[in-house]
Amino acid sequence: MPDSPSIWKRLRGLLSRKTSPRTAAAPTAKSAPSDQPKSKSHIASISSPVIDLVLGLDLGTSCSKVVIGDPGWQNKSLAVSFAREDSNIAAWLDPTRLASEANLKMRLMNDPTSEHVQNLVASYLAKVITYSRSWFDSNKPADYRRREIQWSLNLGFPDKSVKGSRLADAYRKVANLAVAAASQPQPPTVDVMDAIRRGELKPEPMIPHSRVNLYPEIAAQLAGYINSPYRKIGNLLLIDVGAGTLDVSTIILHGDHEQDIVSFHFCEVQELGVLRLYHKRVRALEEISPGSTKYPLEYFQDGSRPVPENAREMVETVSRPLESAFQRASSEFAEDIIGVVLRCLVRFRMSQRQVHSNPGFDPWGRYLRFFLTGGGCRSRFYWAQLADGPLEDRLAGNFTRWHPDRSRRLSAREGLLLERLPLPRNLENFPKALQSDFDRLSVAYGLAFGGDNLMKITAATHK
Amino acid sequence: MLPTGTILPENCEPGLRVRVVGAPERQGTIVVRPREVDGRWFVRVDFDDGARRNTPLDLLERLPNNLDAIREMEAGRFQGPESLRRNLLHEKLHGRLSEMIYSMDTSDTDFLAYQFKPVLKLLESPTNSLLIADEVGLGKTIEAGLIWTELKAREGARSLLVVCPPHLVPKWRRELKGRFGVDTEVAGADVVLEKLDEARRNFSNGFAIVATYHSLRPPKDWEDENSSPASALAHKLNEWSAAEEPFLDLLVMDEAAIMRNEESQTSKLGGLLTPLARYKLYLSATPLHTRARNLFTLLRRLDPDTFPDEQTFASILEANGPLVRLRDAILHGRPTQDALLAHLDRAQTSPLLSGSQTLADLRLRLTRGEDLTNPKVRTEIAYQSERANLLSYVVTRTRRRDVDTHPVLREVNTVKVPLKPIEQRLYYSVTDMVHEYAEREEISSGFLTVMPQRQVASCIVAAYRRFDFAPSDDDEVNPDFTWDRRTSSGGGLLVQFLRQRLAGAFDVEELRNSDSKYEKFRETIRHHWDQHPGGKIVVFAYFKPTLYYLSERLREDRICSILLTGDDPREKQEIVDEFSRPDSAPILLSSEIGSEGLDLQFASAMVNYDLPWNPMVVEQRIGRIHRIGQRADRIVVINLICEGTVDERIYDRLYDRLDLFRHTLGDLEAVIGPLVNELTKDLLSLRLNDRQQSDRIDRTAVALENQIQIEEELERDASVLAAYGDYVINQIAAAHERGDWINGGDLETYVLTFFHLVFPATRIQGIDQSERIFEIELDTEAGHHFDEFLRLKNLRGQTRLSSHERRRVRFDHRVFRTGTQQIEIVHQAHPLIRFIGYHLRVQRVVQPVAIAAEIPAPHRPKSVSPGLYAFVSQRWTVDGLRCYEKLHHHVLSLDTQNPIEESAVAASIVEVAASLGQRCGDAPQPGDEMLALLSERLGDLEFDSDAAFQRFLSTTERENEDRKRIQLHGLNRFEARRAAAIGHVRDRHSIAGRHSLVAAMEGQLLSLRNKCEAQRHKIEQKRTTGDCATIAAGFILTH
Repeated sequence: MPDSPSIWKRLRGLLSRKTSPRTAAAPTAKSAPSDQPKSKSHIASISSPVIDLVLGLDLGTSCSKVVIGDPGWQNKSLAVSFAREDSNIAAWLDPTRLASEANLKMRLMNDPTSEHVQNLVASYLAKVITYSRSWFDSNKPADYRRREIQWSLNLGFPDKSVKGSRLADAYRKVANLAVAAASQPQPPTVDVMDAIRRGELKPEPMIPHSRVNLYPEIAAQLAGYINSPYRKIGNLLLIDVGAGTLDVSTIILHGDHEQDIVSFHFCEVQELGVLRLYHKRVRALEEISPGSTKYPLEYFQDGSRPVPENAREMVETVSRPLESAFQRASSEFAEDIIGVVLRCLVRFRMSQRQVHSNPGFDPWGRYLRFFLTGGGCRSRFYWAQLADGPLEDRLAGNFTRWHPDRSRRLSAREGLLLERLPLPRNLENFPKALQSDFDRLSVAYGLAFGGDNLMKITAATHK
Repeated sequence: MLPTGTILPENCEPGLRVRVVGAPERQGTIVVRPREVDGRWFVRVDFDDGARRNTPLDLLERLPNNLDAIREMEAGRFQGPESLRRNLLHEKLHGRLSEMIYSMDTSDTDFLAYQFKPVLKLLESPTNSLLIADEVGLGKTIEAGLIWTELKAREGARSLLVVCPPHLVPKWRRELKGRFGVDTEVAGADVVLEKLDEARRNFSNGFAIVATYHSLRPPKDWEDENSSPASALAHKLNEWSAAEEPFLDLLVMDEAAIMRNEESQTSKLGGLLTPLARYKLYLSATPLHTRARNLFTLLRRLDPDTFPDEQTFASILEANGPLVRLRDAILHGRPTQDALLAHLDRAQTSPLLSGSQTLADLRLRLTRGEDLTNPKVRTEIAYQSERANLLSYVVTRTRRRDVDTHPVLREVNTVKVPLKPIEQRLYYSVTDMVHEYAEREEISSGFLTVMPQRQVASCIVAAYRRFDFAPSDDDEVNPDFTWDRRTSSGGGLLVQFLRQRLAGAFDVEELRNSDSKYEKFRETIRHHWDQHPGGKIVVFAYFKPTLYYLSERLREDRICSILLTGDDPREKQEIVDEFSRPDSAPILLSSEIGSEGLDLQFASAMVNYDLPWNPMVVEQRIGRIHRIGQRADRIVVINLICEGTVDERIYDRLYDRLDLFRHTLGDLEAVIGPLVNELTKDLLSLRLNDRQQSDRIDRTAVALENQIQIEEELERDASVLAAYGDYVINQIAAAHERGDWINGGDLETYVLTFFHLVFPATRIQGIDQSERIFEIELDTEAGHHFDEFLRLKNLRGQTRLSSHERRRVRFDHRVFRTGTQQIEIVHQAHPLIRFIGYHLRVQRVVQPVAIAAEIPAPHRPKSVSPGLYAFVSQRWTVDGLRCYEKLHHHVLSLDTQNPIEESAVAASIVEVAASLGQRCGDAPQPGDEMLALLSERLGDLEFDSDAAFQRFLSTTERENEDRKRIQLHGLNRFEARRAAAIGHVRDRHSIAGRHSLVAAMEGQLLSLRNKCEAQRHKIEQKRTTGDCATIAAGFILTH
């Protein structure tokens, strides 16, 4: 980034050194007071207002992402980079782990009341918050340098509702602990968390409790889309393939002149993420030939390496029985993921038809728009099942009015209409070359809008 | 006291226009009343960039109705490059900026600055007429296409008529469609009449017609209206030209040299069509070669009022002489003030220039003692003298050597093939038999006798097979003959004669096995491929059996080839497309059919398997690969010539002596053609021995040498036409370098911002981000205004956008990318863009801005030094005889305190900052003394810019006075000419006693007088007025 303050300094120097000859000699037409009166009030200072910045933090199973948003003042967003060389998507992802502890998010989801697990997650979050603040201080645009900034934290939450659950309470607790730990000088260890819990450490939090919020990840993911000219109201299917989970949501997007409304209908979260697929395949191979697989599950846990797509990449030598076991495990897993999506869609469609007075009502028409997001969707396996035909084939024919033949559907533009999340114009520092990877950051980007500017979430009563 | 602009919760109403404190470019409209959260008031704002946000009220201020850039600066309200870009874009998309080239980067062509020169010259021409006299191969068709694109974008031009020779029709259609996205129809006289009539009555939805001279030209008896569609057309054109305002938007007459004979019907067609066009374009590569007479004829057709007779034309040429010398002196020498004034004196002695205001101004500058060593002053004076040049408005000429920055070398390899005894025997047998036949039949015409000779010289085997087996009615075309072939009957009888004598005399198989020429050919191309693996080779032969024979032999040698002979039912271009594919055959075997109108620059080698005697035919062949766009550094031309034949003598004594293969011949066709015709006749119809033949060829060579020398002198004199050269081309190249054109993203921003601000209920739905596809549904009010605009401008049918249905559009400035049934392309000439421009002209919604920007080092223009620059950008508008609107950037280096004199450099600083610059953040707080100093400095700069505008206004006023004078002069001549013509017809009717027709003629005369009087009044009343408005001001730091 250019060194902006020096520009003004240099300008000041040049202007004070060289006075305009014309100005020195006589007032010009433009500068003559009688011609263009300059009332003092016109240039009177409007007191410099406080700027609200939002730390949008997406705690992922394998990687976490942070986007800092300025929704009110300049409408800018900056993605936090975790590496110097930021032309690769890995630079924008931070593995969700501490030195000796991994799988933090899943552990918190499985055991939300465990103080130890909460402390581990809070330590990690405090580390990320500290890093992000310091990254911002060194990379912030010049406009922010002399402004008073008021921070908020918007943490992604892996469910549709952020109220009334043990997990929500745990997330809130963890977020506040992390903010407190990040507000004091010591490294945010588990011991520091305990000290804060016990009241032995009472740091002044840099973000007050009232400005620490949770927001559903799945809804945040759509924020960029909803705030772009590409948004379309109506039915949506959203499939997020994470490292650990497969998150399926059926949604109706409404909007009025004041606020967008995202209405969640049938949703399911299952442990069918890409690491679960790998785990299942490893088990199948190990049953045939114990010790044959090359990599343990942990090898892929931080998300920096692609998970193997075939048996050849998992074992040294592929025998016919190993290949069959691999294929069998894959087929079963495919059935599971298609089953989850179909369950949601069938119930979604049935409910839409039930509430309509016309029994022949077709709520979807020629196509149903859907998004396939998350790091796991880079896996060819998920694409093949969800985007390349099998899922749509199951929906076509009897269940919908789409033509059973795929080529006919293609020519008639019928079926599941896969859309990409648009790259937001105001995400200033994210390389355009990584446009196709933007969905990895989409949750954090949405969170950085701040709760007030995100859409209203409703849950359908039949859920 | 509260600061100005503060909004209190109680007076914060929905609909209030606001902007963000410290980020003044963020503007929007309040949508709901504010609410209090934790002691702070928030309000929902619909921002103009599409975002809708809950924003703290203390972060907002009222948006004033009238902003002033300098005062904005004083208050520290700086905006970033995007605001500068928005304001510049807004001005550009009005489609009226005189120096903006709207056709830049819109077509499927490589950027060549000189091809935009005709665009600017036609727009400058006071009579809207231009003769493009570029050398062959520089892309006159593309220049015409760019002009059409420009006129569509600027003025919404809708009717185009291209008239050309028949063989160029496919090329025009292909180029207009492929490069400019223009669908054309080929039409005869009846359809042209119908379409012109619709255009005249303003019923037309637009058309682009390609027609041939042949189909439109009036027959000799055209006064009989009913004799043919062409007669009817001529009748109507004649009638309309007397009383109608021009209604055809653009007329293009290609190969206009065809009209050089004033008495021809083709020339009369030009005379009838030209007055009915608003813009007239003649294209000719050869206006000069028979001296000034032809140029005069064309100019008289193009602009009869400025060039009424040869004497006036000669006076114009004479008057231009001192101006050209003045320009050359100021550009290339170290002239004294006295020397320049002497040239000026001589120029002003001409009655044509004595009243020129432009020259009067130039004299004032020279006598004022301006610094003649200052490059800027020199360029300006040269430019001013060019603008006073009376021909510069009407003719543009570009020569290859002036614009070819990477000239392609010609490597010529002439391979002489010694004939084997059997081949020699056959060659001399045929020669003797032809002479014997000619003597016996007492035939003196060359065409008859030449064919067998040439065929044998082309390919002995193919020729002998023809004599041995072929039917008697074959009738090959000899490319060297241009005289009327009807006088050359009897070719069939000669072939029969030869057949009787030669049948069975030679063994075809033996001839085939000892074919020295083919063996040499094969060896040569293999050698070529050793050096240029996979290189495409074009092989020309004028004798079709030679080509079929070559195809057969190559196939036997496992070398693929493609034939282009005219026998294939496919279009020529289809065959060329196939040949152009990298995986296709490496050799194209082409007859003369492929030597015209085809672009084969993807090949870099050609073989003349036989040698046309007319060097222009060879030049045409080479011109297929030696074209603009040839990527190779050198092209290879291989000539195969049989030793001991007359072809060898032609080569040695004509081609070699004049070095014809290495130099482009440019415009010598008309000179060389007749000389070579005569030579050919003599060589083959007279029984000349070898020495006599050589002497005869030498005589032609000397004559040609003389002609070439004369042409070179003429070319030197033709510098009167090359005026307006470097200055304009440099300006165009600079505009291109700084990316000064409108792209799809600009169009998208323009349309989205407009509807968001003006018709917010219009629904614009993004569909595809990378392709810029949107779905637009106009709201009722926008739809009403849009429909009204379409009706007013008669643009219905050019768009399917309306308030009744959603329509998908793609924002794309490249006009050659055509839309589909589902997706309409919105480019800068699209009715929607014109509608927005029209709407905003009335209601200017873009406000002046204060800018603080910086240009990172990689983007800094080469001509700009790193440093701090203050700038003021203004819109200058001049109304008068010719309306003029331009963006003016006044830039001052704050480091040196010197203004940037070069307007192109000043523009590049501002334009690059707008497109690639970054925001300078952290502006000082209001009240800072520096802001006062800065705004004071910028105020001075604005004052200087205002003063520059006043000077510009005075210059334009003077030029307008000159134009006024020229137009009045032309109008008077026109009136006199038309009145004389009508009077002549009236008198004839009167003598014949046709009284009703006499009355009709009287009526026409009166109508003419009234029309001219009204026009005269209109011209005289036109006063030059102007206005300048600042659209942005600020500073730019270049790293």
